[in-house]
Amino acid sequence: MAPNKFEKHIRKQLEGREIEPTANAWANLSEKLDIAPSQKKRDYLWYGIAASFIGILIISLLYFGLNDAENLPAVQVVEIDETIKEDITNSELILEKNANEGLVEKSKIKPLAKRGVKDVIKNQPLELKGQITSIKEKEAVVNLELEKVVVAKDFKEEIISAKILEIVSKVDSLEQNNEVLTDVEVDKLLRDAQEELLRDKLFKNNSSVDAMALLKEVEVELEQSFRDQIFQSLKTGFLKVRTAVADRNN
Amino acid sequence: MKIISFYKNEKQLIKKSASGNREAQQRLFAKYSPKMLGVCRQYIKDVHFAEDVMVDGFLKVFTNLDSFRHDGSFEGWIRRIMVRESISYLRRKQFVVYDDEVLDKNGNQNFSFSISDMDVEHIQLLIDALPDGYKTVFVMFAIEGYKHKEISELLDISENTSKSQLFKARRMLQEKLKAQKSIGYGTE
Repeated sequence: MAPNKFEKHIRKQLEGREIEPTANAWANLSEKLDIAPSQKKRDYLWYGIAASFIGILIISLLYFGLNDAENLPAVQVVEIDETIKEDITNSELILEKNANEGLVEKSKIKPLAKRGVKDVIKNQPLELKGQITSIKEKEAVVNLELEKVVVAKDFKEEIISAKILEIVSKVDSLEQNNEVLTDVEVDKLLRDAQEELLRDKLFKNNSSVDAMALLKEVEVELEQSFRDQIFQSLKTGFLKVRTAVADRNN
Repeated sequence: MKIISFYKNEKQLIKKSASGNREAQQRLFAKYSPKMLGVCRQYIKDVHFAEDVMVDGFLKVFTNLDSFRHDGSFEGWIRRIMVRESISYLRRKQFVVYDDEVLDKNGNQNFSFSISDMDVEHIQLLIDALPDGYKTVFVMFAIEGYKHKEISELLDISENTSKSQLFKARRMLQEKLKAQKSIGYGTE
């Protein structure tokens, strides 16, 4: 069905045909162009929305991811603190129990605290430098605290020894005056010394450890036994000195 | 004068129009709108409706100017948009009714028209007198140079329907011209 002559003529006539649009045709189009956003602008809008969404997603992931990473060690640090606190409490109890013997050594306490810290480090799923530094700092602080406890303990022993010597000298002076001292009188002297020590709050004032916080946890019963321990240590020390003096005189 | 020389290059004008430069768009519109209104008028009898369709066509041109790749002529690209816009208009108004009659065996018969003295307006009046279905296929095939395959795709009809519509349009035009006592011409 090829185009015939008539169609060719029509084509020739109509192909170049021009009809001038009305004057407001452009105004009409311009108005429509103002309302309708261009394809480009629409594309940019969608790209913008997509980019914003991706950006928010990345930021959220980073933020929550970092938070998780930060939270995990934070929990561990709390555990470290608790472990150390427990160790300190245990050490304090050991110190108190063995106050009369004065056998508590620095070396015994230190590894205990260190072991707790090391265990925590081993259990850490993420080995981050910052965390390790923080743990080391904690360890240093704990060591310092423990040293202070030991120093305080030594100081305590010194005071008790001084008190014993004071009682011995008192007893000697009384005996030199030909007074016979009964066991009850000796006990009274020892009790007085014990009261003096407690009254002066010797241990409390000279200790740099947060004794208040630790003592709060100690019950009345424990306090009572502590009093007894002081009395016992005074009595034992007194008897030892007396025996030693007697042996020397003999 | 400076402005005219600035927009001398059509490619630059198109680029500026694509970026939303209203002055460049107006210049393109001023250049192509008379031709495009002529295209739309071939399909739509009422010139006012044809102008509305042309304006909508230009709106599509300017909002989709980024998709023009400068592979073919810019005029051809706008023209295709106008044809599609006109077809859409006719569809919206449900003017076009295509029947699926079997193609007449005499579809290639010769036409004997005397058209040498026919002016454009006269031709347009003849075309306007055709039913929209016939007219659309006839204008697309005979004036715009579309193939039946393309017409069938654009109008969503079968190729046979397109051929049938063209045949009927030709026959109707022949009858009208005979009525006007025209002298016949043969096909080439």
